[in-house]
Amino acid sequence: MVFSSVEFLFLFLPVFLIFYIALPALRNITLLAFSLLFYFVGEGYFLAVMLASIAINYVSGLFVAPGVKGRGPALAIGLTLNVAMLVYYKYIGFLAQDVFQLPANDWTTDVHLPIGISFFTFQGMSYLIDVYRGNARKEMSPFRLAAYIAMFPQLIAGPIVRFSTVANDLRRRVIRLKHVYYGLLFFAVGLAEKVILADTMAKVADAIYGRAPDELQASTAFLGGLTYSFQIFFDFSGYSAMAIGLGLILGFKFPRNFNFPYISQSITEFWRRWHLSLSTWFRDYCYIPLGGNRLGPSKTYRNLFLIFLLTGVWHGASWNFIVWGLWHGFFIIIERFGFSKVLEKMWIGLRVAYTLIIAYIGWIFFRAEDLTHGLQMLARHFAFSEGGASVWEFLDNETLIVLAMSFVLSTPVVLWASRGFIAPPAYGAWMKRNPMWKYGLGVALAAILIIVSSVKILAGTYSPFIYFRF
Amino acid sequence: MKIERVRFEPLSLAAILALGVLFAIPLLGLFQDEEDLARRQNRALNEAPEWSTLVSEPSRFFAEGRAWLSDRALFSVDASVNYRKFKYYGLGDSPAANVAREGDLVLPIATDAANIDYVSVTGSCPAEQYWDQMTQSLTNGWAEINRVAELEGLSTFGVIVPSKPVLYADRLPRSIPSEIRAQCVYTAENESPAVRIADSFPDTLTYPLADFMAERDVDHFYPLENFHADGMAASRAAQSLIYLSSLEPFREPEFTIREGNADMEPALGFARRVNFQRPDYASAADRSNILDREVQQGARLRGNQISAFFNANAADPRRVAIIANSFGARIAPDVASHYAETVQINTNGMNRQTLIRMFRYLMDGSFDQILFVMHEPGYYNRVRLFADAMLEAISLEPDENAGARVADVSFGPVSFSEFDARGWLPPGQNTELRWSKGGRPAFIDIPRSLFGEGNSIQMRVRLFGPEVSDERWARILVCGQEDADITDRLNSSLEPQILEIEYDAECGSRMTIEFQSSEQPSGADLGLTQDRRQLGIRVDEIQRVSRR
Repeated sequence: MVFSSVEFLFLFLPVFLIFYIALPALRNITLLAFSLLFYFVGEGYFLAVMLASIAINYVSGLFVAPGVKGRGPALAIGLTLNVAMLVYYKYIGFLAQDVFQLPANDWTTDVHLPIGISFFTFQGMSYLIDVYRGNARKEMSPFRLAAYIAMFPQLIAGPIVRFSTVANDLRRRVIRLKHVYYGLLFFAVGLAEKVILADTMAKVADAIYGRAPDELQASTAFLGGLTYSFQIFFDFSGYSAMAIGLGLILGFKFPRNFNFPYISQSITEFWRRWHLSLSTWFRDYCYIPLGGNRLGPSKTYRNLFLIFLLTGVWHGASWNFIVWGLWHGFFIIIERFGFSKVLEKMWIGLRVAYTLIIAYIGWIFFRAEDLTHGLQMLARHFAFSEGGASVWEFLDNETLIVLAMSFVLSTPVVLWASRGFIAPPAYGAWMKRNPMWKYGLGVALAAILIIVSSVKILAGTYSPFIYFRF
Repeated sequence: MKIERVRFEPLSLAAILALGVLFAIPLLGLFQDEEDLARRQNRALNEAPEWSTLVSEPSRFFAEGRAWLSDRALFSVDASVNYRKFKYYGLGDSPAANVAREGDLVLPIATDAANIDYVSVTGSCPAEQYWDQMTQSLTNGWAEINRVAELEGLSTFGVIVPSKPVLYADRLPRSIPSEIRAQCVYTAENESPAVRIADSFPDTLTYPLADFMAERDVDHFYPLENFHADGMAASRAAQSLIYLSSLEPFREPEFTIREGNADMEPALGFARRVNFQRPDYASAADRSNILDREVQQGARLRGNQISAFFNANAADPRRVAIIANSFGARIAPDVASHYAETVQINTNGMNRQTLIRMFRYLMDGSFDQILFVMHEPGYYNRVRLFADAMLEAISLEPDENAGARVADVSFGPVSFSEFDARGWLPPGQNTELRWSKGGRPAFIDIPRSLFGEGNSIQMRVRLFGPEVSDERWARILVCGQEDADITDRLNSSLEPQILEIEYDAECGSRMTIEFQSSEQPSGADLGLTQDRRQLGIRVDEIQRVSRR
């Protein structure tokens, strides 16, 4: 079930909200029950995989807290089980057939990938490591831990929430009107990002990437990459905003996941603005334990290489994701090697252009069906023959308008401009006082965005979130 | 679980309750009148899922539940219609994926919005490589029609009505691939099969493209917003036909611009009022219920397949039948203004037996002329279909070289774009056998877009022959590569084989399945038909299989 679907918006969500407020003593139980239902609707009996993950992390968590004897082996066992489950469901086919070239069999082919497994596995692992490090208390209530891991707003596409972020809120929270206001605004903006922007871009990107590369003109290949760059940003950013909004309405503050990555002036900065919950996860649980940048340049480069290799692998069991991860890792390393100093001397426009070109090329591999397809699509950008599908086969006025909107809305310009008129959703000082009329305009904006998005959804033009497959 | 301390500020509680209630408003749609809703959606609504499947097949239960809810959500129809209107009027775009638009020129490009294969355009503008075969097949088919009619003492005439993709080939929307647009321009400017066959039978068949071209820029001539040629264009087609079929002069009408509904509503999703050039004789003939009932009962047809007219002031006193597709309804009033009695029969959706029965009735002596009206897309299929049915109606064997009963599958790309919701070709098409001639290859050409991810094509294939022997062989090639497994199965059994073919990535954008076979017995040898030509491979019951 996706947030931008009829069944979620108009059935699941209202029924859940009404139960949530009608059962004051059972709000976490209600949240857990609906979260399990949410997953069951999408994945049926693969719910058992998530329940197994919860059980593994709950039991392991009891033995990894500081002061418990044998907590090191318990952590190792807990993490191994998490990784084993992820490897089996997500990577076994790739490992067996692509890496080890083993003959196909039922155990390695046709293994169903439970949606969101990368997200809830990483949340479970972060819980164990945080408890082990003493950064979080072990959770004695299996229901509370289950509510954390299975919480439906961020269950299947993030952001990846640390247990310490929500541990206190799971025990005690006060939901104020401003939570609801900001939550509603986040949700509405995220829904509009997804339905109005991402889905419109998706139609073009999917149509172009669905064609054989040699059937495309160079400009069309570029249009495919451009629209996909906007699609993936607004799709994922939109989902994260909806998750954050729903979390706020329920009394939880999820971390920010995107911060206008397309205005970055380097790839290093890009990763401080793109999928923050994943990059900080890798930083805190992999990069720093590997030594981070404390062991000299060569080990720093090695660590960066490994982290971006893992980032690529995390996104999918395919060579094109690995190439995408290493592509970014390569530029992170050369920026660290000294290219960042060269960048600093450049005009800001050139710095942004450099970042966008690197990110753009990365998205070609990210979107491609496989590595060969990615290379062919990239090569097509430089095929200046007349034959092939022109951009006009894929563009209409709606697409052009949304493309223009996407350019503007991928920068903070509108957010800055709107601050004079509405009380905007905020992450840090989000309780800052604003005049009442600004809240009124904010509610009006949310209502307009939800109504317009709903019209598109009801008209049957929505599509699933692409980040599900990760 | 220990009781959690989760508290709400009173206002936040009210706000969340309000949100819950507001988001639930579309659920009020569950209380709508289902019959009215189905009528508005012009289709049967999805049924509620069986509760028993919740346990046995939860994914199916929720998928069916999703479809059930989506059909009934309040405002869903209005949202769809208004969104489409906004796209059409507000943005100047096409409101549906299977409709192309540029300015006023609106035309369907595919029958299925989920599978844009441009078959609605390429049907009018076939690739030049097929022209010779098409012309040959058309020539044979039309000759058969004339021969049968002559034997029965009837005269037959036909008009191939130019369609928008050819008539406005130079103005087709840019969303249509340039090679298809170029193909249409080439078709319009050169001796296409329609031009050639009309030249071959100048006394009985007409293709008034040049006349249409001369007037195409007259306001509302076609009109551009309509699928069918209507108003002035239909009148010109009728005029062109009657010029052949009647010795009496056709009275040149006066035209008046009148508003009416464009016939693209099913594709656009909303009704659209446009202008038509209506001829002044539109009411010259009266509808004849007596004649209508007579033909209904005589040919055992449904009432909505027939329109009958009686004209007391007709220039030509004869009784004619117009055999056509949906276009016949546009041209019938024009023809009825000239003849004393006109019966227009829409053959769309008719199965083979009904067609044969209809021709038997029409050829029993009660009609003076049969007028064939064929709209350009797919006219070559109709000529073959009609010829075949007429032959069967009088139990006559076809000429050896006729392209009627034994269809040349290699004649052109067989388009399988019209799978219905269950993955089968629509009724009438699926039962149509596709035979290859013995000793000749046959092709099925399927666009990649049709497959979708994880889909495959399944078909029943049989190599004819009385026994398994070395002389009896078949070979199946997928994109030029032999599929040894399929070939072996086909050669080792006399029984039909169900073959499943998955999309081969090496095929590129289209997958061609080639059937080769030894020369086989004829249908007559096998006692199946009276056809004495050698058969090859029979392919039928083609369906798309979804793996999802």
